[in-house]
Amino acid sequence: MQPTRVRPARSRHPRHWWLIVLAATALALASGESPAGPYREYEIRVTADMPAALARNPTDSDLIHAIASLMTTRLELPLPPSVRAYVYVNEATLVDGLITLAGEKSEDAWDRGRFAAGVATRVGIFFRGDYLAQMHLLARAGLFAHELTHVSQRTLAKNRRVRGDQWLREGHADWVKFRVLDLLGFRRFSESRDEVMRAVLRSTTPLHLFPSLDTLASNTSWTASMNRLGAPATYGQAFLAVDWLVERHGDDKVREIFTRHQADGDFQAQWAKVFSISYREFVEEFRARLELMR
Amino acid sequence: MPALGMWSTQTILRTVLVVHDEPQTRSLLSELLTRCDYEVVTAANGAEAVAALRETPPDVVLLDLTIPGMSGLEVMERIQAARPSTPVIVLSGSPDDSAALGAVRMGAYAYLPKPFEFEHLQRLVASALAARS
Repeated sequence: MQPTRVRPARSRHPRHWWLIVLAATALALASGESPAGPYREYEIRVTADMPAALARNPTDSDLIHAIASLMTTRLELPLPPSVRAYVYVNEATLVDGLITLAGEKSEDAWDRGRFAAGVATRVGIFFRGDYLAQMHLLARAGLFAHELTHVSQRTLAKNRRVRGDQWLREGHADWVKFRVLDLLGFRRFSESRDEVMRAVLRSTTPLHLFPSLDTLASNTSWTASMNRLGAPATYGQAFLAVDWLVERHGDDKVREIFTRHQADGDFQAQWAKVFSISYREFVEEFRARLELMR
Repeated sequence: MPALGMWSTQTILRTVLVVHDEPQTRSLLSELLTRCDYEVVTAANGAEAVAALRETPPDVVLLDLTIPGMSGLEVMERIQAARPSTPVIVLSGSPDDSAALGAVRMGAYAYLPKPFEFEHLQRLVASALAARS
């Protein structure tokens, strides 16, 4: 039997196909468009008559609109008249979007976008489509609510940021997330809180090694703690702290502190004007309560 | 318009035990809390507080930590032993908050530094009652 001689198959592409791709890329760059733009983009128009009810299998767009409606009407969380949501296929394209659309520095964009499923910026909210595709309805709704809360926090503060409130912003975003899931009829708030408490108690990081709220106050140490100690020690703890703050003072007071960002850059001074307990006292009181959970 | 009298008989008043050594503070808190539809029992020291716990089991206790005789923390211990589900709001005027934090570690519902606005106290009492139920 004669051995079969295998010839390389002739390419179906023209000989200089790569030059065409290169030229197209150059054109896209020249026109100011990123070659890795979002594959989906929504505009959420915040109006009084937004539907809060959902179909059985809502699209992401319907879900975001319903959540925005509940946040503004039921939770008194303002949003700008229009919010843009961008969905990207993977980490690299999301980071690219943060740089090209949100104008973030490359290093910051990589820090924020490396492990994130969603990122809120001053120009809109950015999501990882590959993560969204793997999420069930509850998780997607939670993610949208969390990121929209950050947009609302910016709106309350008239886009002013202060240093040292990272745990408050993240804890508040999770607190709103669980309230929204309850309002949507997906899961009762008390069940969400119980789940967080279980996660905190079962955390591989023992409670006494959880970073204090003070340590979680800056963006850098929040990210470092999250990467080193995990979500229960950071997001879980921050949610419980905000939940306690709301129980103690009411959610209107938590909203008020974000509005005070407009005028005053000193977070702890703002705190003293809003709450009956100083920032330091609250941090210590919460720590004592947290350690009681053991 | 419903007849108020018919419903008022069904209203269950919540009892607040105020433990404070200053008569003016006891009197003021008592008056303000009564206006908010709470039944108020007062105690001037730890012994009176322990007696009140037995006689009129309160729904919430406001406990000043600096009381004569039995210390505030000892009273806290007695409350925890006798009625562990009763929320205790600790009032402290001391710049050193270690005693107040000690009470929180023992299970106090919250710690309110003095001076405070009555609105904040009212809010705490209401949330302590809601959390208990």
